[in-house]
This record gives sequence, C-alpha cells and structure tokens, in this order.
Amino acid sequence: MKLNRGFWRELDSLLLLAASALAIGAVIMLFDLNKELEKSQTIFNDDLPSYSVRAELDLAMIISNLNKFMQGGEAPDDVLERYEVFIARLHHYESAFLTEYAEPNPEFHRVIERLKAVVLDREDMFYSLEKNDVDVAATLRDELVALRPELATLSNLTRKHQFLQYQIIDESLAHSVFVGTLMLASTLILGALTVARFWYSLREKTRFNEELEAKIQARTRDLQLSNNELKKEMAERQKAEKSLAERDQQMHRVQKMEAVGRITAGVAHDFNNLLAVIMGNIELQMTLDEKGKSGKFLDNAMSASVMGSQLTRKLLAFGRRSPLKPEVIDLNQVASELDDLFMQTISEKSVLEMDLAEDLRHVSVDRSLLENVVLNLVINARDALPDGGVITIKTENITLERSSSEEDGRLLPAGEYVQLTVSDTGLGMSAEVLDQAIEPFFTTKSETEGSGLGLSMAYGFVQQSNGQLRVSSTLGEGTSVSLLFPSSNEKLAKTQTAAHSYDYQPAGYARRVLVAEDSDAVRRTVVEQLRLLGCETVEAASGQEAYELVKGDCSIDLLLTDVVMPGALQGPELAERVLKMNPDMKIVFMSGYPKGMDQSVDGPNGAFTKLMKPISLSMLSQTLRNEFDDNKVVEPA
Amino acid sequence: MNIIRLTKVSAGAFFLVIQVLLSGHAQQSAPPAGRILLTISGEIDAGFASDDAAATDQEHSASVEFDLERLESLGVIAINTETPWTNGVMEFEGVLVRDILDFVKADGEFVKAIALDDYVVDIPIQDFLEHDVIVATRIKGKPMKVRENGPLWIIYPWDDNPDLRRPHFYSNSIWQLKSLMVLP
Repeated sequence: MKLNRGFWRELDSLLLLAASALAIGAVIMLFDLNKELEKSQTIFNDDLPSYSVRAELDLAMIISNLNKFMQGGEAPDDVLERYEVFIARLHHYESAFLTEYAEPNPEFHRVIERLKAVVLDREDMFYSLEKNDVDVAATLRDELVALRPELATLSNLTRKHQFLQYQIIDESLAHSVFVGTLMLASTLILGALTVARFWYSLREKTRFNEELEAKIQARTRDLQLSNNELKKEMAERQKAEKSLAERDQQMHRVQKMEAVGRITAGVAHDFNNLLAVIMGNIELQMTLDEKGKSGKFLDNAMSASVMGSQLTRKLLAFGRRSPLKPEVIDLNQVASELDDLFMQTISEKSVLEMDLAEDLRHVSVDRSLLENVVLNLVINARDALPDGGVITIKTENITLERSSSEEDGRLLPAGEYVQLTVSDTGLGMSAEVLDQAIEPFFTTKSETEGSGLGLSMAYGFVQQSNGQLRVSSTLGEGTSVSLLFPSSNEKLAKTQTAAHSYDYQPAGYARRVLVAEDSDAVRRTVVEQLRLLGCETVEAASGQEAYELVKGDCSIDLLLTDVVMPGALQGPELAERVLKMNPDMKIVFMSGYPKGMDQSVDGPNGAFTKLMKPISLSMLSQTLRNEFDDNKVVEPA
Repeated sequence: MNIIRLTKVSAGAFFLVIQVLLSGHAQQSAPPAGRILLTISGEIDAGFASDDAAATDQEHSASVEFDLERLESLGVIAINTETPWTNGVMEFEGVLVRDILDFVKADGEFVKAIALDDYVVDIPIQDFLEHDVIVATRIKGKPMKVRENGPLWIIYPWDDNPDLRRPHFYSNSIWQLKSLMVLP
C-alpha cells in the first residue's frame, strides 16, 4: 500500500493532538487529585466522627464525675472543669474544619444547638453545686444521661457523612486510577506510535536516500553510456570523414588516371593508325625495292616504326585498350622460363630469389603482355638497387573472403586469386612518388633510362585482366609490386610459340576483298598489302558504301572492315547485313580499339577474326590463309 | 514585621535572662501560690526546685508545676494569627515553649502534651526550636476560660509562616493543655 504525503501529515497532526490531549488530561487529573488531597487533609483530625466520639466521651466524663460527686469522692471543681470542657466541645463545631460538614447538614446543626441550649441552661445549677448536694447532682446526671441518645444520633449522622466522604474519595481515587491507567495505556500506545512513526520516517528517509542514490547512479551510468556512444559516434564520424577524404582523394586520383588513360589511348590509337600507314608503306617499299640502295634506310624506318608500335601498345595497355589474347597459364612456369632473362637483366651485386608456391592455381591472361610487365617490374627493381640487394619474385594463391573495393571503385569480387609479387630491398618510394608512380611517363630515372610506362602498363594490363595492381613501398626499405589475377579453372593451353616473322608467302589465289575503312591512308595501305598478297580489292570509305558494293557485286569473298566508321552503318551492323545477304562471306575486322571490338563483334557465326591496327603483312597473310584455306575461325583475341 | 518580632524575641530573651538571674533563688524558695495550670515532667532537671514537695520524692516522677504568674514570668510574647477554631485574627499572648523547656532543662526529642479533655499528642521538640511556638495564656489580653479552649493553648505562628497551616501542626495545636511530659 502506498501512502501519500497527506496521510502522514494527518497522522503526525493526530499524534500531536493525542499527545496534547494526554498532557491536558494529565494536568486535569493532577489538579483533581490535588483537590482530593486537600479534601482528605481537612478531614484528617477534626473530622466529624472523632468530634462526636469526643463529645460522647466528654458527656460520659461529666456523668461519671457527677456519680463520683454523689458518692462524695469528687470535688465540685472537677465536675465544673468537665462541664466547661463539654461546653467548649459544643462550641467547636463552629470551627472552620467542621462547619464545612455541619452547615450543609441541618440535622447535625439542630442536634448540636439543642445540646448546647440544654447544657448552657444548667450552667447555674452546675456552678451552684455544693458538697453533698446529691439531689441536684442526681437530677443533672439524669438529664445528661437523657442527652446520650441524641449524641449517638449525631455519631451515626457523622459516621454516615464521613463514610460518604471516604466513599467519594475512594471513588475519586478509583476514578483517578482508572483514568491514570487509561492515560498510561494511551501514553504507551502514543509512544509506540510515535516511535513507529519516527522509525518509519527514518526508514523512508533512508529508502528515499537509497533510491535517490540509485537514481543518480543510473542517471550517471546513462550519461556515461550516452557519452561513450557520443564518443564512439564522433570517432566514427571522424573516421568516416577521414575515409571520405581519402575516398575523395582516391576518386580524384582514379578520375585523373581515367582521364589520362583516355587521352593516352586516344592519342595512341590515332598514332597507331599513322604507324600502320608508315609501316605498310615501308613494307611495300621494301618489297618493291628489294636489295636496293634504300634497303638499309627502310630497315631503320621499319624498326623505328616497330618501336613506335611497341610504344603505342604500352600506351594502350595503360589505357586498358590492349588487344589481349588471354590463355590459361601457370605463373610459376612463366617466371621459371623468364629466369635466364631476369638473371641477365639484374646487376651482379643483386640476388634474385624465386619464391614460387606449390599447387599454384592457373590464370587466364595474355602471356606476352604478362612477360613484358614482369620484366619491366624486374627492371624497376634492379634500378632501385644501385648497390645491390635482393629481388624476390613470389607467387601465391590468395583467397579474398570479402569483396574489396578497388582503387577506381570497381569491385573486386570475393574468390580465388593468384598473386605474383616482385619486391626489392632497394631505395623505396616516398608517399608522393608512390602516388604518382602509376601515371604514364612519370619516372624518377633519367630520360635515357626509362620511358615511365612500366607501371602504367602493368596497371592497365592488370585492370584489363580483371585483376588488381598493388604497390607498396617504404622509403629506404624497398618496394613491392603485386599483380593479382583471378584464378582460372581451365586447363593449361598448349604453349604457342608464335613465330614472329615478316615473311609472307604469296598465296597465288585471287580472292576478291572488300576493304571498308574511312581513313584513306589506312585503306590504301591495306589495299596495297592485300594486292601484294595477290588479292583483288574493292574499296569503300564508309559502311553504307561497302554495303552498296556488296549488294552489287556478288563476287566478293571477304569483307575487311573497320569497326568504327563515319555514317550510320558501323562495322558490326555491316557485317550482320552482309551475312544476311551472303552467309558464306568471310568477314575480318580491323580496329585501333581492341576492347570495343570485344563487345560488339560477335556475329551469328561465332567470333570473327579481328586484326589490330597497325596490321603487318605477315599477320594479314596468315589471317587470309586461315580464312580461306581452313575455313576455320582463328581463336578469338 | 520581622524586626518587630526580632525585637520582641530579643527583648523576651533579655527579659528571660534577667528573670532567671533575679529569680533563681526565688524559684527555689517560692513554690507557685496560684492555681496550678501546667505540670512538666519526664526528662527534665527538676533539682533546682528542691523545695517543691512534688519534685523531691522520686527522680522519675520529678515534675515542675507552673501557675499563671510563674509561667508568664518566663517571658511573654504575642502572636497575632488566625486559627481554624476562632473567627478573625486573634492576639495570643504566651510563653515560648522552648523557653519553658530551657527553664526545666528538658533533654528529649518529643513532648507528650495532655489536655483536660484527655486529648494527647506527641510534638517533636524540633518544632519549638524551628518556630516561635508559644503556650498561650491570654487571648485579647485576658486569661482564657476552659470553655474558650483555655487556660493554656499551644499556638503556632500560622500567619507568619503559611507552611505551618497543615493538619500535622493543627493537630499539635493542643488546647486546654494541662501537662507536658518530655520524652527521650
């Protein structure tokens, strides 16, 4: 039961009231008792019964003295003395003690007055009493004896009265005892109540304090909790802000790389077209002017063109525009095969360590480009070790448990990966240098030593292979570059050692080839190359033109078309239409953007052959051979 | 009031000394001639009253008797007081009890007072030393008759000391006093 404050206030005032009532009662009782005490004191001595007893005694003494007098023994003086004493007694009832009782009792008053009157009436007879005056004495004695019943009545009256007084006192005392008992009980109860009340309030106070303390503690705990939460939140926010800033920075870097990649790829593409023209013309010249004076010059021009072509390949690689020919390979195998080459590359002071994992999973990447990239990395490591050191090539299986966000925001899905790491114990890079390391043409080496395309190429290549490039470096401790490729479940491909030769065999069969290419120079070069290979050629500057030609000339055996051309009809659509018209038509694409081809060139007959510009004569020759002789599809690039 | 009392007391004491010196011989040679009002017996030295016939026989029953003249010769003082048995303030004259007890060379703790009507009360002698209690011989200047509670009446100074107005002292206030017996 919950009692409210008002109840306690009422109880308190009740207790106070009860205590006051008790106190007042006690005062009244004491007052009453005092009055009773006074009353009892007044009847202590000169009380009525003793008065009447004494009066009777006095009377008896007079009678006795009179008797003695009559017998001649007593002197008249003694009789008179007793007579005087009796009279004095009869006067005494008027005293202060007795009137109090006598006055309200008329009977008492009447008896005394009558006695007094009788006795005083005989005064003369007493005083005139002579010796031997026996008769008078006898008369007096008889008269006095007659007064005795009256005195007895007085005694009875007074005794009754006295008994009443004692009864009153007794009742009063009993009453007092009763009231006192009641008061004692009340006092005890009140005391118990007060103690209980005090105890309760004390307990309440204690409980209240405890509750207060508990509340304060709870509140403090809550505050601490929220404080901790706030701190946590702040830390998270800071972290988030930091990561956001990092992300911004990363985004910025990625966008920069993207832009640079796009520009690079664009330039490389156009430049590649130019190179195609140059190379084609040089080859033509070389064919026409065999063993001529200009042969040596043409060779130089050709090698320069080839170098240019290589450069554009690297740039395209960085721009993720490499024409990839992925094959399933074992990275350990690649590394082992390149071991000799690495040994020749590194300086004598350095040591090359191979840390190849057993049971390494296979990957599906472009082998030649991979070799190129790894070699570049080893060269970088060598350059970072001017005073010698250790270069480590390490391969390992890696399993990504969770998808990880790549630098450019692309998701690297969870799964099985194979990592090849080239690390050195060399100079290392500062954070600023590391930031720029991947940018094309950024190099710390002198201009003659490197192009600044090594890491850029590696980056583009790995990205294009759906992998990830990880570069970590600490200034003074070394650099570690990891290539991460998704593992492949396919079996190893047969090692193809493509024979790179500039030889071509004149086929001798006259096939009719339609060349659709918007660039006049490229078209002319290709047409010339085809003529060298003994083909008849038809030229078209756009997709539409090519389509018209095909419609009008059913002798065309092969369509060699650019993928991207001005006009509505692009390479793939052209191919589609042409195939509808003539399903036996052979179609070969050529493009400066290998990746773009990947997406849109798969026709109904499966993959088409794709040629990457610039197109070398040997490659063109082989392609034609594949198309016409075996009528089988060359593996898609 | 106190000064008056003091004067009275000292005057009384002085008078007493004079009386004792002057009447030393007279007491021994002259037994009371008037009616005997008070007889003192018990633990007293009655030897000085050698001529007194009543005192000569036995040591135990040795007593000293006083008539009014002899009693008042010990020195009279007045007490004005009310009593429960009289109306209004009365002037009592009498002799201080302690003077009487000194006179008879009393040596005891209590005095058994006996009245003509055979009323008996034991009074501690301490009362007489602490308070100016008198054996009154006169009221309003006149000797008291027996019917007026006379001839002797022990009076406490109730008006001077209200503490005395209690039954204990009232009961000690014996009237018609005829004898005192000094108890050890």
